[in-house]
Amino acid sequence: MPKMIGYNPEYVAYNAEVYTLDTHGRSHEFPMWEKLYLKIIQALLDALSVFVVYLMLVRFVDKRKALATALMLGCFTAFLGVYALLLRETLQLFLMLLLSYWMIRYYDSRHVKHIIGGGG
Amino acid sequence: MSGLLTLTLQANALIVPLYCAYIIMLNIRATRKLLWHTFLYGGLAILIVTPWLVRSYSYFEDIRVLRSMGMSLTFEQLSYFGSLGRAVKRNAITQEKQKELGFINNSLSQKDMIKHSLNGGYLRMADSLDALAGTSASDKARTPKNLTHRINRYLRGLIYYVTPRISFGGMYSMVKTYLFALLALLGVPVILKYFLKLRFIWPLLVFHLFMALRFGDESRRLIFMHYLVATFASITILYAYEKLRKRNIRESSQAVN
Repeated sequence: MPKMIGYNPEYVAYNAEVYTLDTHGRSHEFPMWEKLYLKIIQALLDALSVFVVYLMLVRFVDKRKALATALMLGCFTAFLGVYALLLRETLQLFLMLLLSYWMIRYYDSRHVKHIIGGGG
Repeated sequence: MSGLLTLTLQANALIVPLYCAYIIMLNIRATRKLLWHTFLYGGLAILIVTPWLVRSYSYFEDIRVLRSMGMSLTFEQLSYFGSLGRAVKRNAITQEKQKELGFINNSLSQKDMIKHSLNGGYLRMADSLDALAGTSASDKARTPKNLTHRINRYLRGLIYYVTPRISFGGMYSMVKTYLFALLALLGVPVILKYFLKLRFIWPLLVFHLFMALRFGDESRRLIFMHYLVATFASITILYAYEKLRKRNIRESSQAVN
């Protein structure tokens, strides 16, 4: 399980031997014991992203198919495992999907409140 | 969302004019609505980014800091990293030295990073590294040498548009890349089928095309595209499964009859 969420104990020992400079954990090559909670938050964001995809899919296909597609997507993206590294991409992807969601709503309604969501 | 997106990565600011064009396209026959919605969308995006810009300006007190939107990874620092990479490629410095220099830089405070960017420190270091490695001006500008190089670069960018990078550390292994290459093949025809209905993400498709051609090597920048491909590949798999199931049911009922 720790390896699945991106933590590798061997990596800690290796980096401690090779790099003596204190880099404040900026680089994602460095161990991030204390930042495990951030990875969990990223995993949750990833799950939320899949939910946003589901919300968009129900506009194209029926609910059952949309749910099945979202579940499959969840498996594929978990395999991709971007949330295992502390990167902005998880948050960025979530925001992009939310933007797409607001814009699909705007496309349907042309209502100003959807522009506010998209612009903010 | 566009304002928040710009705060996560400076290049995302390009999404704002693209969606402005989308809003104009949707309301082309209603001029008043077109103007109001475009203004509101653009204005809100700028409004969200403004406090960060004000903070950056008041912290560094130099207007030039806004070129990188107040973020410490400046264009000058990127030039320095580029020179480091080229110096390793030409065996002017070792990989260990490159990492050491990179880590020393990373341990600087944000204020120092900006200071070295604005006083020309990074550019001077980049120039001395380039001189050491004997890098020419065209190499520095990353200009493709000839047409074949150029086509090769653009094709590589287009491949990364739908498929993650072939191999990169632990994030994208070969297996993952091949899985996504397969997904891309399954997903792309369905995306083309729904292309007109997907009008609401056209600006994002254009934005990621630009990213693919500029930053294709860093394929994590194109993760939205990889999610899109995976979603439509899932739909393809689902439709194929349903078709197979229906055929099996039909065949078994024919066998019973």
